[in-house]
Amino acid sequence: MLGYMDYVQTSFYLATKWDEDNSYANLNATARALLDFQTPKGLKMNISSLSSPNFATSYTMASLGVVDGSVSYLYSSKALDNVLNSGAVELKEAVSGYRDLKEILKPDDPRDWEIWKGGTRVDRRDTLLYGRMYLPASTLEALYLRRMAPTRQLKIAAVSNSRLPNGGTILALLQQNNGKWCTEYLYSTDVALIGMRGLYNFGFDPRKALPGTTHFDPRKIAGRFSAGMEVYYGIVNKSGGVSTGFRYSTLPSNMGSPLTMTLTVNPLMGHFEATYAVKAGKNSVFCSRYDFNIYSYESALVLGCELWRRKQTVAPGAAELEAVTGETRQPGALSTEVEKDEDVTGVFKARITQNFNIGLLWEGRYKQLLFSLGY
Amino acid sequence: MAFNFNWSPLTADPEFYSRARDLLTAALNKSPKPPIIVADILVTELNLGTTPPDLEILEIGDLADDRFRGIFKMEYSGDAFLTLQTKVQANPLNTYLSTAPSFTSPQPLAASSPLTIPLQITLSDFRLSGFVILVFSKAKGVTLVFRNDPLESLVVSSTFDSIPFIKDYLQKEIEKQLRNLFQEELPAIIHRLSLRWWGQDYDAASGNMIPQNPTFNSGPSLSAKSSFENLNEQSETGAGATQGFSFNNDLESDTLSSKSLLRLATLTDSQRTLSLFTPSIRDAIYRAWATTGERSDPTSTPSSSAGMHSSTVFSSESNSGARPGLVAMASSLSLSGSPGGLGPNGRPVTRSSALGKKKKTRVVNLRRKKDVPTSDGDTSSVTGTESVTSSMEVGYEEKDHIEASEAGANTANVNIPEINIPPLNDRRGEYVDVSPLRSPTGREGFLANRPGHHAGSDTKIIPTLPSTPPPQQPQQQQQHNLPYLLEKSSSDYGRENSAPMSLFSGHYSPPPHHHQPHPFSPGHHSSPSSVSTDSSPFLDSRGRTASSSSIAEKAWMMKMAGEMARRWGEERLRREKAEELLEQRRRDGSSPPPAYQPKE
Repeated sequence: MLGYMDYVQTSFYLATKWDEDNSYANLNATARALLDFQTPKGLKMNISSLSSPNFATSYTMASLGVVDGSVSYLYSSKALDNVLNSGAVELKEAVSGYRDLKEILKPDDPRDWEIWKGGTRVDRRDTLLYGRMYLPASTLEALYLRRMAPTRQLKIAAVSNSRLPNGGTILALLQQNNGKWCTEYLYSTDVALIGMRGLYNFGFDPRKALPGTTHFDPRKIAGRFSAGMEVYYGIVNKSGGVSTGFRYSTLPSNMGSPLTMTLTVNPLMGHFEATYAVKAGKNSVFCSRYDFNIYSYESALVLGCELWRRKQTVAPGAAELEAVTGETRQPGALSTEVEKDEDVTGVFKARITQNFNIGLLWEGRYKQLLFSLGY
Repeated sequence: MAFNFNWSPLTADPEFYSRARDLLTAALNKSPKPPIIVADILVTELNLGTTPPDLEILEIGDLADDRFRGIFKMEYSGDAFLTLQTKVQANPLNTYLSTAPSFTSPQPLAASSPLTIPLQITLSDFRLSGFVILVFSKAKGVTLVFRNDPLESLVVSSTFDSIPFIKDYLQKEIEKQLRNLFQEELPAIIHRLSLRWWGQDYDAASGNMIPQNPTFNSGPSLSAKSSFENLNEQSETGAGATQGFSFNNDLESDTLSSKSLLRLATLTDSQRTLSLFTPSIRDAIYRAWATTGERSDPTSTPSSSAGMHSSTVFSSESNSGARPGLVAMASSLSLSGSPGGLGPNGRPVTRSSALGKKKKTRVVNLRRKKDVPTSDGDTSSVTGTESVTSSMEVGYEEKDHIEASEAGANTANVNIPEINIPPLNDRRGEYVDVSPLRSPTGREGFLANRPGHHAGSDTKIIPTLPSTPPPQQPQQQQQHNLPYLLEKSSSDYGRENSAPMSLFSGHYSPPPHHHQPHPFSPGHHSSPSSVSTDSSPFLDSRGRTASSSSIAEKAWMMKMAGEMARRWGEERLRREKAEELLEQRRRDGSSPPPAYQPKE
């Protein structure tokens, strides 16, 4: 289950038209959501609210042997009207699961963002500020997010804790995303780590598409193939890391069952990782991941699945609709339209590794309360 | 005299290596490992080789059938080797991310993928050279401490010898770890091993007796080492010294029987609380017994001593609580330190055990002969009952003494009283009343009288000034105190070798010029009644040990003395600051005027 602040942050991305999935860091987000989910430990309670469209608060209390908690505040200069409360939010948005890639959109023209008033520009860049204090641990997390341009975003994250070396770390990340490709540059103060990563989407380029012809471009229908790589170098410890990755994913316009395949390679460490996720029907997703290292011959296999439980209210709803509209509906494509994600009452996730380590998670909603149970 | 060290029988014992391997493995895995090591460290091979180390005896402090203490100079360049096996994480990005907080993690996709590599390290060609302090007691096993960092060089060969960068890194890291091992872990390992060896024999021999009981009286090793370490740490860090005790604490649990521990715990509790029950412990001297006949103050009971001993002191001849006695010495010394007789040289020390029945004296004279006559006139046998004295506390006091003596200046003597905090003065007040010689009220008169009180034979209680000990120290002392309750032998290595006692002679020298003139002080300082009567054993023993102190020892002493002098300088600065502060406060009129106005 996404934390409330993560959900608000995602809503900020949506409101400012930033495509989070179009980044090399999220190349295998589907597999991570399906296989690396966190099972809850102890008892944890969140109370959150969006007191105004620009301001959110969240309080967490956890009991894991000792009681601890956190207080977090968030400010967004953009009014977040798309944030819903726990009774209304679609479970699909609150739970990270299979990621349906969105169509690549042509980025806004920078001139579209300009607002002129009386001969002077009055528009401001959207900014998100977020702070979180963990109470007994005295750890402070801070985040500064700024949409500098339609294609650019700056993210500065910092952690302050006296137990960390130098008292804390700061990570600065500059992302540039114009749909066709996305590059990110980062710097972390911890070991003076500099990094660069980029993702390139083959095929259709939204920037060159003629207006009005986007929806009929035949090349984007089946799916999208992306390739990317990342390079890191720690100046202090004089060590680095490199990896490259590929992804093929079907798009919503695909008629077959949606699937995502990724392959990532770390040539320095000789590590290969392949994932395959398929949406088998509308209520289930299956995923597998295979790791192999050609130097140490170590391998790992993880299997996971995600099952969606829906309300059994399809028939009465359809009958009602029929009664209202007075028409007979054709069974088939239209029935899927009726069956919205709002009907989802719970998500069940399970994973198993080759050592028979089993993880189970049930996330759902009871009245207005979102909960997750796990083992 | 000749010693015969057998090297090969040690290595011939087939079980020795397996036990040593187990202990080493446990020691290596005990401390939290760096994140680069992802598996347990296994000691797969251990061989002590055939070449024994060269040992040069520098000093033998104690020699008997069942115990031995000495300082050696050790040189080793033999063919011992050690092979370790573990797994390391070869991806530096992975180890970095495992320690970094996830919120600011750069979240690399696959650049941090793990690669664990089995690693085999062979350490060979050890070159060791250093000073070793060896304390052996049949009951307590072997305690071996390195005075300095013994590691000179070694050869590290590993799976990654072909990669020079990793080779250098490993060499550097392992040398660092080994230095730590030699100085901290190895003494513990050797002690445990020796306990297993001699512990069994000893248990068998002692038959039905509770095997741990004799350890109370016999073994010098524990307290010797602890005090030594203590002093060492204090002189190095200048900070509190509880750290040095960690090693000892787990030894205590080995050597004390649970019954005795229970008794000691009860005793501690009774002193901390108002409980009237005091368990009887064999061979222990209770302050209540020792002083009931002599003390005129009924209010200070033994049970309250825990809170008060920092401020009350009994005169040394009354055979009462030894710990306060030492405090008294410390402060009175600093009051009357004379510039003439003080120096880095060691001074004679005598300590009689309780009640004067069984006096065990241990003396180290590191002074040159020509100094002897001047201080002999003092007959500076300061006796304190040692039975209740913890080694830690002694180490602490000694430091004070050293500081005071090393400087040989008068300023410290004046400064120490200035640091008094008012609450202590208030507490002291009630004891002051007891003394007949004291001027009736006020701190000033009382302090002026102090030397006289100390010297006066008819005075039972001497209020003193806990100059440096922080308020919480009494409790610490109390805790560490008790396990050593029954050790009669004054065996602290630190007491002898750091030679702090020098300072006591200063106490008996004529009062320094800055003293406020008082009719009592000069006469009583030198009066024989102020010192204990057993000066002859002291002289004897000093003469005996003086011959055994070697040149190296003296050199080391000089070095220590220099260090101490430096520390003292810092301390003095600190005190002067405190003094200024107090002066200022006094001018404000918030607190009563102190006894001494420093006339510098």
